[in-house]
Amino acid sequence: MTPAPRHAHAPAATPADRAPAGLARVLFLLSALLVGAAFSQPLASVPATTYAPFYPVAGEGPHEVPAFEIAVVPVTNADYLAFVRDHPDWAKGAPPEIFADPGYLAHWAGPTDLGDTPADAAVTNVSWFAAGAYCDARGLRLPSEDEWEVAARAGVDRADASDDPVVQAERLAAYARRNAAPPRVGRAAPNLYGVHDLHGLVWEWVEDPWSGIVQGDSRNIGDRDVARVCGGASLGARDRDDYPAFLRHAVRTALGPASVTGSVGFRCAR
Amino acid sequence: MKIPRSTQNRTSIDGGTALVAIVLALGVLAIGTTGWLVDRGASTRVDAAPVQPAAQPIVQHVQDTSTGHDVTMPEEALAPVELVDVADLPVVEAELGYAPNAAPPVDRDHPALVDVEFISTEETMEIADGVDYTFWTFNGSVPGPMIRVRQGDAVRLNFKNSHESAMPHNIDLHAVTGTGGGAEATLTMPGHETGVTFRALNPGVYIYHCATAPVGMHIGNGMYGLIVVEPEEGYPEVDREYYVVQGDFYTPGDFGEPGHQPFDMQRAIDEDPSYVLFNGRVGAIAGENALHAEVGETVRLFVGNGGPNLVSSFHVIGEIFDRVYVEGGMMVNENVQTTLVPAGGSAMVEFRAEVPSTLNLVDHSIFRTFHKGTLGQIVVVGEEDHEIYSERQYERPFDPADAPDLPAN
Repeated sequence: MTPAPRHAHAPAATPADRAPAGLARVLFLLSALLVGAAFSQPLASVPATTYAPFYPVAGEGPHEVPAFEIAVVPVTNADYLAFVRDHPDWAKGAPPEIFADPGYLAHWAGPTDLGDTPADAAVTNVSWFAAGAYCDARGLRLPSEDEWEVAARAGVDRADASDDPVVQAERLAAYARRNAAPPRVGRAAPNLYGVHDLHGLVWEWVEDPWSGIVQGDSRNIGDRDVARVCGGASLGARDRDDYPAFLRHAVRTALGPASVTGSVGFRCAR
Repeated sequence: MKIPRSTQNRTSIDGGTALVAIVLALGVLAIGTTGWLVDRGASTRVDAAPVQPAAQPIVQHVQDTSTGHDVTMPEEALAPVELVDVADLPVVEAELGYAPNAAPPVDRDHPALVDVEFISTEETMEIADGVDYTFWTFNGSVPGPMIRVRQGDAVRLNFKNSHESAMPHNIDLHAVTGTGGGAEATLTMPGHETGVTFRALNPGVYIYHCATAPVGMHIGNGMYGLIVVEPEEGYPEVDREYYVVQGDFYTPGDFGEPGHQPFDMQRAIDEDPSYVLFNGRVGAIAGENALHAEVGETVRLFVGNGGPNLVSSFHVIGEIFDRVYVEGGMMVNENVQTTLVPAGGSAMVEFRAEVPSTLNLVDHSIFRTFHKGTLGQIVVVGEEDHEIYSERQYERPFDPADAPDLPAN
């Protein structure tokens, strides 16, 4: 999962956003489906590399990360609507609470009704279980934490921009930026691999979000093997200056697998 | 339920008498710490359950030289705190104080289960005229609201994180005896809520703050405030109380540079603030927002320092603190000019306003006041008293021959 506040340059509401019920709504939904099709998750290739975990286990070297593919944008509401039509077990109100907290798809009007939610905005209010089920249904999977971090550390012109203070400051500001506009995907510039929206749109689920997280009280030094609350805040962190990484890990720590919230979405990989 | 706490200080303090600290060496290995306690002469002694320390304390009788009073630590100071089971406590809702207003004194002679509702928010507000900053807050204000409870109370905290937040938040209250001061129990995603109940065991003035990683960024964005735990008998009555919390802020633009200013991580690490403020804004308690008092009134300031970095040399120009509850604890110092308020700490200061004037509250690490905004004011109105202060008696040229003879060097 990755973090991110809302879209930096979200436009003002379009006429479609303000469409009243009735014919306009039908037209809007049709156009939304077209938009959704346009964002049907093409995948970008990321070559094999190594990744040093933010909270390394003592004695552990960098992880080998084989080549993988990752969706160029997060899963949209339109994408997810198509999924729940095929898999009513995951419709709004359907999954039991152990798989998704009561706020699951709270921003939708009904089980298969987006209401005022833009079709091309990243779907949020989905649990880790739900995100995994979606990717599974597409023959994909959630990216591992290592994969997500490898994709996200890239800048627009290089594979690792996380040591660039200017880039890091931009990411920090993007995370902290408050924007009430819907998180429409694909509007920010892509990175080296052609992947959009990794910083500043929505936080994103990963396959193993609790593998190396900070404690709820993030000043303690912990043991990575202790439950989900492990690792340390600064002591034990690979790079104390990587505030964006601290923030991502704090989000992961605060979530459980059934958690849903309006700022967490996901994308798939393979 | 009775929990013996040998380090618990229970003092009765009334106004006006002198104060002396005595050191009690608690015997043997039992604790190995030194307990400090202060008592003020003619206090009302509470008949408390007898103490049964692990080892007999060595009590050294001490006399206050100015009053002749025996200021030896009273026995009840080491008495156990009588705790009523949470289930048996009456439930009351906390009355919070929003700066510069202090929360009202606790008007109870019995413990209660106090409900406190907090919500963390992220919102853009002015840090100075024409300068915006995106603060992270408790209940929408910097500092967060002042909580005020009574020793022995249980505090039931409901912690919400606004649906509009981007970040998870939590709260570590220094008044809490328990894991992380409540931080771990209250780590909360946007749109979620958590709950925790803790016992106010030790009286004093305590900072609370957000403790989510990276901690300094959350504190630096304004997430701090005070929780005051009154001793069972309360603090002495005063005429006015105010709530002031200092904090340092880090932005790429220097003081006053207009527009929206984000948090500057490197300046925070370098401890190079662009703003050092009382109550989160330039002029929050100065100029038209100045605090007020009248001649003859007693004034109490609950002073906190959220930091995240700087230690405050807190001083009020034109007054002397008659009493300072040092570091927010129960030791009272008298006749203090400047008191240290550590980052993540507090002091409670009291004075009587004797003459009319505008009192300037400053951090006497004085470049901060002059260049970075650490200035507050209390306007004291009332009749002048020339027996105490004459005001200016003349202004005129003088004859060079009247210059005083200086020692030759």
